[in-house]
Amino acid sequence: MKSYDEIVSEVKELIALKFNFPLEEIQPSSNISTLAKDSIQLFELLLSFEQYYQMEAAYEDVVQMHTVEDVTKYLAKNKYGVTQ
Amino acid sequence: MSYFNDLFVLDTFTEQTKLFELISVDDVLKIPVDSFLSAYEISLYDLVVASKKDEWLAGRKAAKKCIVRILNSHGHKTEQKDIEIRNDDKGVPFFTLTESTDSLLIAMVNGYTSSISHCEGFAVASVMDSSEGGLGVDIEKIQKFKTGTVEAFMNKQEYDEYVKLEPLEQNKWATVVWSLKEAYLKAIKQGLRVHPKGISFSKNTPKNTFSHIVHDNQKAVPASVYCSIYKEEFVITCIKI
Ligand SMILES: CC(C)(COP(=O)(O)OP(=O)(O)OC[C@H]1O[C@@H](n2cnc3c(N)ncnc32)[C@H](O)[C@@H]1OP(=O)(O)O)[C@@H](O)C(=O)NCCC(=O)NCCS
Repeated sequence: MKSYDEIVSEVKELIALKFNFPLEEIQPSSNISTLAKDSIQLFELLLSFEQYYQMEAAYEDVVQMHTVEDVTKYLAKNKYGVTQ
Repeated sequence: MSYFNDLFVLDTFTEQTKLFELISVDDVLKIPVDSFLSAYEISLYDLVVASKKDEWLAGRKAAKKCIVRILNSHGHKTEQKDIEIRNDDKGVPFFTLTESTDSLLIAMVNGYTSSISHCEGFAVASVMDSSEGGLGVDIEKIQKFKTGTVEAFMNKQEYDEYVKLEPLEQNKWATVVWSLKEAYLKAIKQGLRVHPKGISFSKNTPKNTFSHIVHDNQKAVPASVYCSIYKEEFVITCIKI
């Protein structure tokens, strides 16, 4: 079972990788669309959530969210059944 | 003639087009911000992340040029800094007036819809009376897409045709298809909240109009489309639905 903190790190790492963005500058309160260079990067991140977590609903759910924390809470609850 | 050429007749880009305003960031940076931004917009500008500041500014300038041109053509002498552009909770831009008691003018300004796009040193914007429908613009640099990305945003028919193309043609057409889908998604005010794969285009006559279908079983909606290649480097799209 993953801990909430492990999931936070996982989400941040995925964003840093997809956006080619410094990991240490990504905060739980960071706005994901602000970190993305453009909509193509944003789209690719949404796809990678779907693939990495093998959750078909991840695209349509995550796209409605704003911050890294929102996405982490969603994945923690819906993928791992973990709450903060 | 490839499937894509046949479906989307690309226009030759003309600087004179009145459909939208195209502005380079370099040109906007020569102009003092307080000559076209309101005090509130300057406070928003200060909050924009450093990497997006210049393009944000260019987008504001382009949209303001469009609306002021329209208002002037209706006999309303308005300055760019009197018009404020804000974004609603979905990010959609809208206009307000900073200081005016002229209720007719206020209603008129509120009744226009705008679409803004920025990319690598340029911004485009277009403005239309919202009673006429939805409006979406997009500017995109022609680029190589990852195969998985193309597979994810193109529908089956588009992808089957795309894989038959030469690599350079693939870059151009993938960018065109992405840009058309993004402009359409802005016209329906959703952005990527609606998955681009579900959008498909079919051609109508006359030239340069198509009907699109959002998700397989929905009704086709007619649209006017302008799509062109700018400086051999960018795709610019403007869609009215
Ligand atoms: C709308 C969207 C496609 C724009 O992508 P982009 O690469 O920034 O593209 P562009 O430069 O072409 O367009 C930016 C402009 O689109 C406009 N815009 C933003 N959201 C919009 C929407 N829902 N509908 C219409 N236009 C919108 C804004 O005017 C913005 O410019 P501004 O911030 O300077 O005012 C993309 O940001 C999106 O889909 N966002 C919604 C989903 C989202 O952000 N989810 C976050 C969690 S992953």
